[in-house]
Amino acid sequence: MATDYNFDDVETVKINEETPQLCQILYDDEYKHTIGILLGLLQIREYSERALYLTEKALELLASHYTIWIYRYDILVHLNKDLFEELDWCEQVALENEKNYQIWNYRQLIITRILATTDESSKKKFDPHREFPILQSMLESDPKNHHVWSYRMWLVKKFNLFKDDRENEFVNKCISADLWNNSAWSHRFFLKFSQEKDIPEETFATEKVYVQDYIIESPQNPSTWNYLTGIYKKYNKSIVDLEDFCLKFVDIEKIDDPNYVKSSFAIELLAKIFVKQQKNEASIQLYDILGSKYDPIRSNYWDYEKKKLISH
Amino acid sequence: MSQLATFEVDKHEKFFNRFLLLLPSKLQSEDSNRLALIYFSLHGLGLLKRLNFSKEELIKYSQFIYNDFLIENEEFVAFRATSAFKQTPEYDFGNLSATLFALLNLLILESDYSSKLNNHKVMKFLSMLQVKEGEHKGSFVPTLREVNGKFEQYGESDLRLCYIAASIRHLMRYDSLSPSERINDIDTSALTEFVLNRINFSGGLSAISDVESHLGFTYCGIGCLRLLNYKFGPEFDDTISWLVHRQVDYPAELYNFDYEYHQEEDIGSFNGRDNKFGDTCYSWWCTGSLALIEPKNLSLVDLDRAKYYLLNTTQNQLLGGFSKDPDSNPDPYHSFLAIASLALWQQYEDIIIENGATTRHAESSSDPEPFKFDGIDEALVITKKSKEFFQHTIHY
Repeated sequence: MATDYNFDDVETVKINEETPQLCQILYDDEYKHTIGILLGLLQIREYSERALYLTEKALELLASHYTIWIYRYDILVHLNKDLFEELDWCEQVALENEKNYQIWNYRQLIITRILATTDESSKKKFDPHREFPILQSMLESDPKNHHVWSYRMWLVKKFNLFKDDRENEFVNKCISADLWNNSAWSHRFFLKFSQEKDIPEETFATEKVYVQDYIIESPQNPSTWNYLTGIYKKYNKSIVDLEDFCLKFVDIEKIDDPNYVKSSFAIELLAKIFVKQQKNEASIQLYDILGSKYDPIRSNYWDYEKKKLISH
Repeated sequence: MSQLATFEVDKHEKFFNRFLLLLPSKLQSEDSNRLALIYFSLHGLGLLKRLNFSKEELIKYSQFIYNDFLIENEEFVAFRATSAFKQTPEYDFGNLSATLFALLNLLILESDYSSKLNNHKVMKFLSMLQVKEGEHKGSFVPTLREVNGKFEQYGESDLRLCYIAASIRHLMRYDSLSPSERINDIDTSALTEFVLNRINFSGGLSAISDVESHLGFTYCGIGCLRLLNYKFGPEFDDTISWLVHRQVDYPAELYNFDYEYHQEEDIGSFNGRDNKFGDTCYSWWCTGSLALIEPKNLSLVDLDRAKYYLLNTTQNQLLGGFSKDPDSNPDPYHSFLAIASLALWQQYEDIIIENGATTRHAESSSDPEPFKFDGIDEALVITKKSKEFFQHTIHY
């Protein structure tokens, strides 16, 4: 191990490799050596610079074991380390290994401690915007990384960034870069609608226009249709209002001809609208064409929806 | 759709047996998921009806699970994630998912754990992990840490952990004890409420509040409710619709494959979120969820297509096992969930045919006698044989 730290005095713990075992792992020497020293340090509860260094090496090998994260955190607290440096370290680790999911929860723990140990008079204060560059690079390399988006939501909630300009600009950019990115649409819904019970009518109107423009641009996109029906649900508005909008994408007279159908989601929503208007026959006709032509893999489901109408 | 490929049972058996024997060093980063890897391999073999341990082997391997993973202290009983940490008692905390996988492994190894594990102490561990207040109230965290001689919760709560906790509670038979006997019970009504509040506008469930709907977490939410004996009603209609929409199809009338996430070879598979790639494991998370709400819901998706995707696209004809997608190598997780899916669809075949239009039930013609799996319990995701062992042998 290339290191400035010396561990010669640490009693290395041997990992049990004796049979009988199931799924026995053929650990390599680096693993046995590093984890062996780590276990030795844990046994004597050593909180030191070299132990901090070793946790980094151990986490490179076994990121999924919570105890190592807990130990690292305990070392930081004992040594009274600069937690902003720890945040920088987290960024390096995240960028080097995108699949390291534990890092985001650990980062929350560090930030929570920074908040608990700093106040208005502190020289360094935590600014949630410091998180934006790292989140941006993570989402650039994987725009649908569920852990990173979840962390972003935690940040928004923790620091009340729902109406933050930079946050809203960010989500706009994500959507315009890829209007099929369902994670970005979910995040937008979260920003706009998750907090208040009574959302201003104006937000409803602007969001409706916003998403409808994107549906017009690309009509066969489940993310945008879900967003549109999602806001109707949230506001308790009647989807019957959307009949004319749906008809932009479907010519019912010529529905057998694919040249006159741009979206199966429009047909699906129209079928629901017709039910509300008690035009069950018209609705059944739409379920038939979904099953036979525009969404055949779900033909049994469309039959099931149809049967619900017939039995009523 | 061309002819269905043969289900390579002998190769799958060898695949799981290779994993049970030895894992190469590149898998050492999975050391803390070892109990899960054992579970995939043992129950995978069990579903194939090819787990042939002798009595001595069953005892030997059960002993290995107890010796290497069990933690018992004055307060609680749990299992650890990584066996090496048993040598550092100061930093050896139980882990919620390791505890479930250990129990599921003990069931298939036919070990009567009720004689070894105090159910109240296991439930004490669960109670210590349940979030008591705030927006995640009712949910669970994965592990504990020690602060000034006291245990504190560590880690992020989500629906996966809720499902795991409900499973463990069932395996401790707390759901069949009277309230006065349940001395360390968790708050099941807060848990139920937490899960129900995770249903999104789309009908799917999300890990924590307002996050994007995700099929893995949706299964966990539904599984958790089922294990708490929740009765599913019309409030799950949107969820059923969302689940059914997870099956991937790109009809030529509407798609031209100009989006990188839309792949023709994914047709018939299931995706975990809208506009994502199909993936073998979601065959289970989708159809398992549908079956948990009600088995006849399985007729709502196209299982012929789904079967084709598994057998012809992600089954590895050479090495055995199933991969995540056609470009990956087979692994125990995807192999187990592919086999679990096939077993589930076979188990409910009569109900599916009765309720659906699946008259064109394709079987491979080169395989006139379709392979018969063991049955599967869709809530605990274990073999029928293990479920029966639980019912007959585990008494508290």
